[in-house]
Amino acid sequence: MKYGFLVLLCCVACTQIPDCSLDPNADVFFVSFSDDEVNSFTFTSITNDLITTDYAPDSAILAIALPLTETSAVITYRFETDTLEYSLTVGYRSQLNIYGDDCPASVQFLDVEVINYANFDTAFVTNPILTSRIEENIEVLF
Amino acid sequence: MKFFFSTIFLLCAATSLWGQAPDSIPEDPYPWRPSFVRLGYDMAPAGQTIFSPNYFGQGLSAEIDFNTLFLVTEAGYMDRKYPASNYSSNGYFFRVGVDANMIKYDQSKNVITFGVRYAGATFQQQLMTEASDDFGQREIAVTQTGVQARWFEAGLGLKVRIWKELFAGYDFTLRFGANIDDEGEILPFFVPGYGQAYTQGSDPRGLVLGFKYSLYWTLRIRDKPVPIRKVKPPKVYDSPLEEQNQNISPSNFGTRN
Repeated sequence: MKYGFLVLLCCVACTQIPDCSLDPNADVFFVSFSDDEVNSFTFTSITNDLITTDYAPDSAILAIALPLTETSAVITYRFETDTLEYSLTVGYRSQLNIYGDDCPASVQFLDVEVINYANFDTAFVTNPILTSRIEENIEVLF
Repeated sequence: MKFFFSTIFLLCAATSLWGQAPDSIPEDPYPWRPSFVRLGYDMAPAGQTIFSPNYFGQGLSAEIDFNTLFLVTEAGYMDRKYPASNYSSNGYFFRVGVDANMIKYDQSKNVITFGVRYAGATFQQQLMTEASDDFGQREIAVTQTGVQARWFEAGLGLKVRIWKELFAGYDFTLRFGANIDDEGEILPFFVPGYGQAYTQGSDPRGLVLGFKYSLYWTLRIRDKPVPIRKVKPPKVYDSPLEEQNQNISPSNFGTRN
């Protein structure tokens, strides 16, 4: 009987109770920019085709986090500089999942792919899943 | 006179045969012919249904014997709600497999079994949540029907006679090798008959522990004798000296230091 209680205690102790704040799902993808000569890049405007929000920071950047939405499976971001307009079209899949019994549902973005790009030398996916632990999803070369 | 001795001889022979009868039960000439159908009702989900407002479950089983093997089918329905995420999953499941009885000599016809199952579920999921970000505030409501899952089970079971043909039993199973349809808009969190499918969001659970407590009623098709374990008769020695010599073995000798 006492051994049964010990086994039960171990089972309860070993049961993982997830902390909802550790849910790794993220709704932004990280784009990093690189070039042989320039160390950082300045954009006058960064917008997408779904909303009018401008995501261009005031300072020069090497990477930026840009949001995705589950209301669409494709999004196109336009990057404007003083001289040229670049674009990057990204496709993805969204899925609702639950981190734990007592956690709210969250959206996971996965299967990220570069569908199209303009004026960049190249753009490719380095990690197709968006999580808060990943610092780069797409790398863009000028 | 001659007739008298013949009669005595026949009587003695018959008596010797009758004398052996209580020690042995005639072997079943058709061991693979089914002798019963056992119907079961899983009390575990029924109990959970009573005590949890977010759970409803029912499970039935039927099994038929073929010698010491039981062909088992199980089916049930489960509906599970998670209020924190406004998620619900409900649907039907089945299990088909074989149990092997490991105590075929038990005269009460209690059984301890090792069994394997192939199982599946068809269910629907619903999820409602709210999102608020740069793209606006909105309500997300998704219903996904016809979601499929398949898996395997292996486990140990015990059934004990408690009254006439009424049996009670436990089953502990390990569920593994799950193949769950995860391409839909909702990643299945709860699969009826299987349990929680993913942990920490999207990590598949490799092994899921299952438990059943069931009541069974056995319908006898025919009377099948329970075999008696054949015990090796003790060897008879002609003299005590011979018996003593037989008991001496090298392991009985002590080590001399």
